[in-house]
Amino acid sequence: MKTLFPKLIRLAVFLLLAALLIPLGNTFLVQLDTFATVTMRELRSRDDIELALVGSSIVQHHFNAPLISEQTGLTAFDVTITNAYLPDDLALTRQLYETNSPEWVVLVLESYSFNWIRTDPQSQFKLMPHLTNPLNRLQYLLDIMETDGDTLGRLLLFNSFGFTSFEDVQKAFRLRTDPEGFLAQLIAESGGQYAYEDGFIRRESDERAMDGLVKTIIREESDYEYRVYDYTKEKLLEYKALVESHGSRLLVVLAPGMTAHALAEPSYLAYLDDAQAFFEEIGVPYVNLVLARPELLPNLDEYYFDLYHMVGEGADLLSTAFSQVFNALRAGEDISGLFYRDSAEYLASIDFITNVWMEQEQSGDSVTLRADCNRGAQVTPEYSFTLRAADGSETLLRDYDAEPTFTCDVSLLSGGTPRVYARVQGETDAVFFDPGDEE
Amino acid sequence: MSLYTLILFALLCAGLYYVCPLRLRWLLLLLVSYAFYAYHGLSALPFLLLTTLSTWAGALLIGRLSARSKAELKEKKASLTAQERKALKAALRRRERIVLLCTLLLNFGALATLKYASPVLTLAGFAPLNLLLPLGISFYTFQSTGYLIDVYNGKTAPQRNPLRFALFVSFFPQLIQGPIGRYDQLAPQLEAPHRFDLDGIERGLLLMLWGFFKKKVIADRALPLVSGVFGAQEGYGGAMIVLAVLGYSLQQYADFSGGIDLVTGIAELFGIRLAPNFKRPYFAVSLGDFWRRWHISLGAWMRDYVFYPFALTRPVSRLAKAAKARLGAEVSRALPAALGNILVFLLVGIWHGATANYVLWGLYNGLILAASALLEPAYKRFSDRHGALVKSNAFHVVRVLRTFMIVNIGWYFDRCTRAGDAFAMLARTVTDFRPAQVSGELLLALGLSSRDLFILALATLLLFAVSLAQERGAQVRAWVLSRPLALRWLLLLGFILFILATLVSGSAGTGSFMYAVF
Repeated sequence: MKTLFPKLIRLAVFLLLAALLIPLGNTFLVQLDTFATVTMRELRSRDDIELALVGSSIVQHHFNAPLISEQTGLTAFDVTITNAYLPDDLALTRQLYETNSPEWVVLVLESYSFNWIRTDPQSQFKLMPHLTNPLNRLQYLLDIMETDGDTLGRLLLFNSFGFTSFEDVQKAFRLRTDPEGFLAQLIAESGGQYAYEDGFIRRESDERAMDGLVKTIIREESDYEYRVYDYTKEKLLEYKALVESHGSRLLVVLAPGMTAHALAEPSYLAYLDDAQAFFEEIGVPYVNLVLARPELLPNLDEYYFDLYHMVGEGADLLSTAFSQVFNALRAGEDISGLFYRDSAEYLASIDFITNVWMEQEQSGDSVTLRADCNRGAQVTPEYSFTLRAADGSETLLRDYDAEPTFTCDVSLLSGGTPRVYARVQGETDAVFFDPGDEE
Repeated sequence: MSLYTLILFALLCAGLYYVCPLRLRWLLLLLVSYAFYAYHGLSALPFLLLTTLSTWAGALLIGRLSARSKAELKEKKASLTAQERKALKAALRRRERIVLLCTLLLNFGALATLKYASPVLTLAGFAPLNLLLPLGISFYTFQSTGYLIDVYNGKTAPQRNPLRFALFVSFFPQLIQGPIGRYDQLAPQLEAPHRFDLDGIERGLLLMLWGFFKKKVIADRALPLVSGVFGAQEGYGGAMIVLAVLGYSLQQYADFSGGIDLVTGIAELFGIRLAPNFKRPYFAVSLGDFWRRWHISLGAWMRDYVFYPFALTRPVSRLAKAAKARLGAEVSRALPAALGNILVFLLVGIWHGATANYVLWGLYNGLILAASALLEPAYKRFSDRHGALVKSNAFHVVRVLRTFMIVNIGWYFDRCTRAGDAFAMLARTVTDFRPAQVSGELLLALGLSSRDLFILALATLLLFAVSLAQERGAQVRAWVLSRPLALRWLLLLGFILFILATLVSGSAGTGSFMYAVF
């Protein structure tokens, strides 16, 4: 017994050390995400945040924190991790409270952040290394383990997201020792396409989502199920309790997406209605920017550089709209005039076509081109079909007409690729689609 | 049961074992072993019970018949002539043999039905039965019938207590893939009330860790390469095929020996030492040497219960005598061993599966061993003449490499599901090598990134270094555990961190042990 007890103690200490290898690995042996590292490092060093905007890359790219600070008079900061979902938002907010006591916490929810209960491992690897409180880490880990069955994968983050090259090691070292310098270098190398301040990433780019809109993304299934899950409700209640327990005020913002999404996936709007009903039920103030009138927010698809994120110009408009609404709410003013009454009124207001697509059917020697488009409820579309040669020249097959189909002999199409144009009847601006765009 | 569940289960059982009263510990082992087996499916339990009860009863009956025979012989000794005594002894022995054969027939009949009914029916053009093979049925059948034969041969006294015997058959770490234990070696350990021995437990944990490393870092990482190439062999040239065969060599060894290390480590948590099953087989200098190092417990079982009984039969002896006149004394002496090897490996091939590839694999090994046995005198003469060369390190390395190559050619038949595929792959290895096909892109398409390749190379190097040290007589486990505390902890924590960072988690096809299906 005399020798056994010290041996047991020794074994227990060893097992404890072995268990500590896991958080150690999850902190120092994972690849680091540049913006996550910079944002989280700044968050840890700040204690003056009065308005925290919490969420995913939508917040990171849409909510211009310095502009919002200027327009609201509160020091704003984007507390974000790309791909963040509700468990990530909770962990982010607990980290926020480690050093800050914001007056307002604005939880920005995009459609994708609360209709999909599985937390993305991508967000876990970006966030976990930067959480300083072991209890927050543990709670976060338990939360995300609950969202899927991959317990081991979640626990051993550094197994899936460990360094894969020497460059990863170098990058992690630079980000740990000189994150600002690393970021500055990255921004310089991007040719000024990025700017970073207070968690906000400003993207200046000529790329536009409109150029890449393809029918499969916009018209068909997006893999998202538009439903407010019980799990989501539970997490939102938990979030509300967290914010209230720290004496902050909570505002939920439903972030806008491209109009094409709203048109293509009608259940998306119904689902937002359900979400609003839930916020009313639990007494959380909310703002649905999807229903913002153009006078408040001209939410044009051309402001998006990809299918989800805005360029700097769009972000400025959105941030200004948010500040206007936020200031009005703080002052106790009625903001209902700034928004459409409901989804139906919003849909009725859309008087343009966002995108068009075409299907091709061959029967013997005959080919039928069948076009369709996403459009506002009151819009009557008309279509024109052309044949585009390899050198870019186009031959008209059929001029604009409300009839969406065009049939011809297969030999007629042998010299090129058919293209369809769609426009609102009587107007001149048109959108087009090449089948080749799908590839 | 996943690997992780198995480890947790074992740790929990070990905890329970040491809080259980000493005299009830063996009973607890029996209970948890049956719980383990039931967890894998209640439908498999009747087979385990059938084997246990039939072998227990058979051995008991043989023991009683034997005792009665001895008493009868003793009683009549004075009144019988030597001739009559011999006849009586043979008559009494016949009764024991009938019991033995009936019990063997029952057990191997059940095993054969479950294993071979479906392939045979399919071959005959009937619908397969889709019978599920109970976990570890081969291993516990071999183990219990070995005991039965030992009782029949008078080497072991029959166990009267059915529960104690049930523990010998069902001890849970062994149920997955062996090793096949011997009653006289294992049963006393299982029944003994082991006291808490932390040093022994630490040794067990270290062995478990090593086995886990082999399985999860090496075997599971090599799996995509092997399955990818063997699953679509038509598209690959010789270079990729060779790479896949080498991958299979590594995967199979790391999987099987890793699993054995793990279960041996688990047994050590209870103070029980299982029979060794591997002894660095890829360092073997001949095919015979290889099979004395690979799946040792099966090899020993085959040697004791098939090879010797067959080689010593009268027909084989007569054949050897007949050969002496025509082929000479050397061939005559080697013939029983040559025939015995062919039979043993044919049976081992069929045990792996009732398909042509396994039969060919068995014959390939059996024929090479038979040829080796027949050529042994010639080799001895060569050794005598070129002693310095034969004893040189270079010659040793050549022999190791030659054996490795012979074994790997056999793996073509072992891994392919059809014999035709194995022949096609062998042909392409020599006629259509296509070295340019081996590229990073192709390996990536098979599921192996450059990180995977780096880890695989590093882990294999570590495995090789440890094996080499052991081959040279080093006791690596004892060496690690005898280092000063700080160094030992540093080594172990570093190794654990390496495993956690590199283990293959969650991907399809990984996790289960290859030999669990036999």
